[in-house]
Amino acid sequence: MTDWLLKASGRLSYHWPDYLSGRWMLLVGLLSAAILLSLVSGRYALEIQDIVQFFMAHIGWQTMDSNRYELLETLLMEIRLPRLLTAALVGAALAVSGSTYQAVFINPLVSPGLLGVLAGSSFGAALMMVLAPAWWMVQLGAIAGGLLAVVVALGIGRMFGNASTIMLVLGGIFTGALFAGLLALVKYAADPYEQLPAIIYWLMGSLGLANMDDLALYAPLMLAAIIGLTLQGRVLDILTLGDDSATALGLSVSRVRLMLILLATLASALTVSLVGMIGWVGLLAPHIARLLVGPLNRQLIPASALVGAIFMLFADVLARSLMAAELPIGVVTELIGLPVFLLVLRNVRKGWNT
Amino acid sequence: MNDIVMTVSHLTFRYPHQPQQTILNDISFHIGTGEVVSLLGANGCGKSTLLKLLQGLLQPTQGDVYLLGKRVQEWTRRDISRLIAYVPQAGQLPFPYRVRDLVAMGRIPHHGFYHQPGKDDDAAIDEAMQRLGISDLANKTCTELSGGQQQLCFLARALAQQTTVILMDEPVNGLDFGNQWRLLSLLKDLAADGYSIIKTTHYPDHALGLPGRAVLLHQGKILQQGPPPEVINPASIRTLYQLDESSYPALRYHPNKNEAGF
Repeated sequence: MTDWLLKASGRLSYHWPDYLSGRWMLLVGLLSAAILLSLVSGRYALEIQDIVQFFMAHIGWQTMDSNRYELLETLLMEIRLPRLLTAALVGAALAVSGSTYQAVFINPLVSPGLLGVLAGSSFGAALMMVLAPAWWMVQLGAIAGGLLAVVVALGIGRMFGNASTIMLVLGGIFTGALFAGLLALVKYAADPYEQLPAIIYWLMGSLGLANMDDLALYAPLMLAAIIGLTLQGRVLDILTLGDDSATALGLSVSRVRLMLILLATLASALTVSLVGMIGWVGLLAPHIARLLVGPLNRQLIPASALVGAIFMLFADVLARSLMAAELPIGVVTELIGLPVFLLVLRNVRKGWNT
Repeated sequence: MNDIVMTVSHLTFRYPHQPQQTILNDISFHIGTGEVVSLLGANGCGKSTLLKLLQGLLQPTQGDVYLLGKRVQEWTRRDISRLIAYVPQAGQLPFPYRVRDLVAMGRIPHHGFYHQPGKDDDAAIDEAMQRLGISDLANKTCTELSGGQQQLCFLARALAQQTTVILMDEPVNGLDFGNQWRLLSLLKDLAADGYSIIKTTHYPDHALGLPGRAVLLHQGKILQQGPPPEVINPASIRTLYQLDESSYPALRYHPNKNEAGF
């Protein structure tokens, strides 16, 4: 017991100085700003004061006009908070699984989107929406579809040469196209009055329907995957050295790799069943995080989670305030993702030799 | 005196999915402390497969690999990683790790994946980098290194691993002439310190320049093995590489050139 405590405290004291650096402070500051912005912005704009007053009243430190309190309670606790939590969780999950895929496949150009995992998950989820529309069937369908997509993408990568960068990316493109085709088939078969609009709206990626009940169903598994992967930092570092070196350092490569792929796919597949397809976050967040805290996964994975959450929160604020009607968040991340990717790509080429 | 560290005994290997093709056929050799074994052979003769078998990465079809008297498969991965280090070829690295972080990864067999590195780890890392003269590279990222520096960095990781055996896959590949021979003389020093080094090489004269033994592999079988000056001669080179004596310059660093027929 004491031995365990010593180990745990040793681990903490080893890690915490890293997390007090300016770059981590910047991330935490940005996250706080994003959270605040996400709470105040929207059709019914609020002041920061309102938020403070409401939360003071909520914990009973201050009194507030009861009509106003009820309005704020509906607005904040039932609409904006679940929305904020969903956005942050989805962003973190996509970013962490992106970082994991990049380490596992030793390839800085893969992501849940580029590997076709998101397409596979949306096919699986849509299929279940039509066949057996229960939340857990949809969830299961998304996970199964995501795993199937990884298998197909990897299989194609392996079929021509040793899963090189370019073949893996091509395999992902193939997988994405394959599952997009299958998805079109599902859409064609779906009931055009009820199911089809639901599927299409969900696929564009929307946070408009975010609520605490859905979150309670999906969040535990996603959080477990995120935390699980965060603890594997050093294992991921070793994996990026290649199979022979990793084995020589004592890692059971194939078993560990399988587990990591499962966790990463779980995290990204669930984002699809929760809010639909969100592009670019899984590719961009790891690269931005790498620019900030360096390539060691022990720090990169948690930093990616923060960057992904921040990115999604800001994207959601834009989605809500750019136009009179709310834009689907997936559309916004696509649109701001592209220019950001061009900026990042410069550094990718410089430091990553790809 | 040389204690036997690894023994390869009547090792035969075929890939399970290609049972008709024998990659390695009845290979036997051993390596003692402070010895250098150079594996020579043409492309595709099974050198790299042999390295994998030595690490226990592949299952022998027949025969066994013994590490300190025990079959390699009977050791745990963790134990093997404390006894055998592997130095890959220099090449493109996908992620820009700092050199010191890369060397520090060699400590994982000792402190595990979930335990904090301590003072002895820092000491081992610093010592390894000093030994190879790359202390000043500590804060560079490994993607800015030249091939030679990268090879030293990988070797430093192996030294930080504090193993008995070091396996090297064509360690001089892609290095310029100066770095090649600097690395080889470094290997000589390491062997003098008691490391057992097994390396594959494409250059007969690199085996000649080192003490220890050469193992010549030809079509999956051992053609000859013994002290390099005895086994590397025009006849064995003709068999290994289908190369006539007149088509390559005389091999240098040969202690008794005339006797061997050069």
